[in-house]
Amino acid sequence: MVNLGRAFSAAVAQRVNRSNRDVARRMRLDLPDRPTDLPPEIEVTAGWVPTRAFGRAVLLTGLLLVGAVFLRRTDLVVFAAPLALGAALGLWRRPTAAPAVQVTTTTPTVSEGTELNASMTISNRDPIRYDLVVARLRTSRWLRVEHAGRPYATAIPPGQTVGIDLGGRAVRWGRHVLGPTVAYAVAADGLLISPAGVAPYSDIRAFPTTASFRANDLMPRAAGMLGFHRSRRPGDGGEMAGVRPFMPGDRLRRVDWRVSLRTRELHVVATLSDRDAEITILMDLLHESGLSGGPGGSRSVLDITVRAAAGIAEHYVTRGDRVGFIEYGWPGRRLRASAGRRHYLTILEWLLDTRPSPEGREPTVYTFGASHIKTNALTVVLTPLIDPRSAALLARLARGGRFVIAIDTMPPELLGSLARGPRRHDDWLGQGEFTSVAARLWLMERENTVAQLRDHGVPVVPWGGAGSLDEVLGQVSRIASGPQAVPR
Amino acid sequence: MSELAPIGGEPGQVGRLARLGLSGRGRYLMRRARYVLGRAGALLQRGVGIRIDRVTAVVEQATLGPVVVRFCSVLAALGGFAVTWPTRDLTTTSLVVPVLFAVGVGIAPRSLMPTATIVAIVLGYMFNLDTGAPLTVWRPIAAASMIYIVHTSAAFAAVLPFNAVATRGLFLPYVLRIAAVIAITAILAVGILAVPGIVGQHRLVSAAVAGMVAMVGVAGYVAYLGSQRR
Repeated sequence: MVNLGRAFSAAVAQRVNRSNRDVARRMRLDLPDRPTDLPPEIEVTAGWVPTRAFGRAVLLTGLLLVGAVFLRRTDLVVFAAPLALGAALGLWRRPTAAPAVQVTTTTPTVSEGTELNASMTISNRDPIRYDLVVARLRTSRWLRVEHAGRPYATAIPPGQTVGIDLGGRAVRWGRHVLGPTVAYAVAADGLLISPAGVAPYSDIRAFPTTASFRANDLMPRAAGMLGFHRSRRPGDGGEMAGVRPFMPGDRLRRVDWRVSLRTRELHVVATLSDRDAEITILMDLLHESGLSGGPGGSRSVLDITVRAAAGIAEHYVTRGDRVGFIEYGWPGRRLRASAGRRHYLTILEWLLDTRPSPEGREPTVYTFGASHIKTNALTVVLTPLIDPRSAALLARLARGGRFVIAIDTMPPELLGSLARGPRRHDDWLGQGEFTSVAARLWLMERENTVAQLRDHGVPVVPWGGAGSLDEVLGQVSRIASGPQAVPR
Repeated sequence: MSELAPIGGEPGQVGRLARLGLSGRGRYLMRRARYVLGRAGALLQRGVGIRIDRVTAVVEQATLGPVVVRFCSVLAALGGFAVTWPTRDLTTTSLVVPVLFAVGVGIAPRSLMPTATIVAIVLGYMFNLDTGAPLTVWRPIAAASMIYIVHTSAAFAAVLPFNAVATRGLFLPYVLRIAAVIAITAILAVGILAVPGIVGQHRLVSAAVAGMVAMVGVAGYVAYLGSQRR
């Protein structure tokens, strides 16, 4: 699994170790003004190096003194005096160590939209005052951190440490990177510049906000040994099936004393056993569409998919059911079905690495073998129905005898804008003569696909949170309770 | 994409060019020139657009501290020109030159502009004296002060990003150091320029040589420190 944070840090380390011939120019020109999205150009030097101002002071002092001698102009010495004096005063004692930078966070794990606490400390280990220390923190684009993106400038007295609070929040789920942080110091009145002090990145895990989800306890085929759903088999459970005469092996606490006294014969309460069910959540990651705006803002397909998956998983896992995950896309990860609180945390962690399939990558052919999705499992497919392959997959699953529910994860606002057409003159739907017409044609084709899927027995419902699946769950359960004709 | 039209041109243009009396070769060159000019114009337009976007971004992100430092360097450069350059040049159209130098220092403190500006101030001072301006004590002191402020402000601005968030009190030691250096310079200048006139003409050469030796010593020390790179 590709860890973007580690890859980013490796790239930084590679640049750090690269030798450099024009260190001062790099540090002064490129480092402070580089946009935040680009990886930093970090160059490390052996020690403090003179700046261009140092060269200017030496050059002008020499020129003015030579001119004073050759032109017999003592007033030129006056011009050279402050340049030479300033340089001499500044360079009287010179620093040797680079500034030490450290970024720490007390909240490496946060929820989407919640506050993030971090701090940056810069230390001056020299006995010389740093006239200026410029530190720049780079973060993932989904972390809104104070002082990130802009360099932070301060002065540090000798032997002291400056701490900067980096308050912020994670605006989207996923694995994010806080850092690396690069700082350089300037001393001797701007004549010397230090090597870059680099603080490594910190990993921040932002768990998705769980979409509110509730559903009734209807399940097409409950299969396990214990759980919340009633089965059709007699056994220990909470659902009463009837009253029958006592038989050897029955528990005494099951005796129905009222019926026993009336019939003068021991009777026990018969119950139906409780069973758990298996839910397979299949996430269609072939395409991403829409813009992410964080919690409460605009949603992309992946946002809806991940939040809905987390909500459905939380609902069923807390009821004792087993929930598994499969990605439809590349690389096609899967998470085995299991139950319990620990499994729910595993699901959240697993969802952090959800990414859309790269262009040109096809889903692996082994993803949907016969043994991967059990025939008695409820398969919930989260799909935006953008790609024809998604519709074909749904039809294939239904034809294979699986209990399939498709949840439409296309953002409603995106569908609405496609249906309305361009509203402003700079709207992309207004660009080109046939763009809006093509968009409407695509919408009609999509509606046609949804209708065809319903004809194949695949209910397609838009994601609506609590109670939105009750009706289709009832339909699927009714279908499951009847006889089925499975092609051989 | 009209400026990137094919060499053959639009239908109907051939007829217009033919009516001008151009030969086939002339018509071809005419169309070729139109194509090249159109392409160059498109590239120029794109380049200008990119630069305008860049300037807009810089203006939007600029913060107060770095802007003040750069503004100080601009003001000091203008002050240096005002003190040293002949007054008649500063009231005519040649005023554009000092303004360009000064603005250049503020915009590009990392470039050669500060050095060029200081050299221009010194050359203007020497030209002014050669054309009859009196040699007074205050003028070199003021000019040296302005030169030093230009130099040190540019040095500070070169390492302070334009969008940096500066803490309070960051610039106080910098201002105090400038004041101290200017005070020492003023004392030194009085010693160099005024004392020889007071003590008599016969001491002028020896005093100047002594002062020069001292300055050469300081310059040599600075050069030595610069060579001690780790």
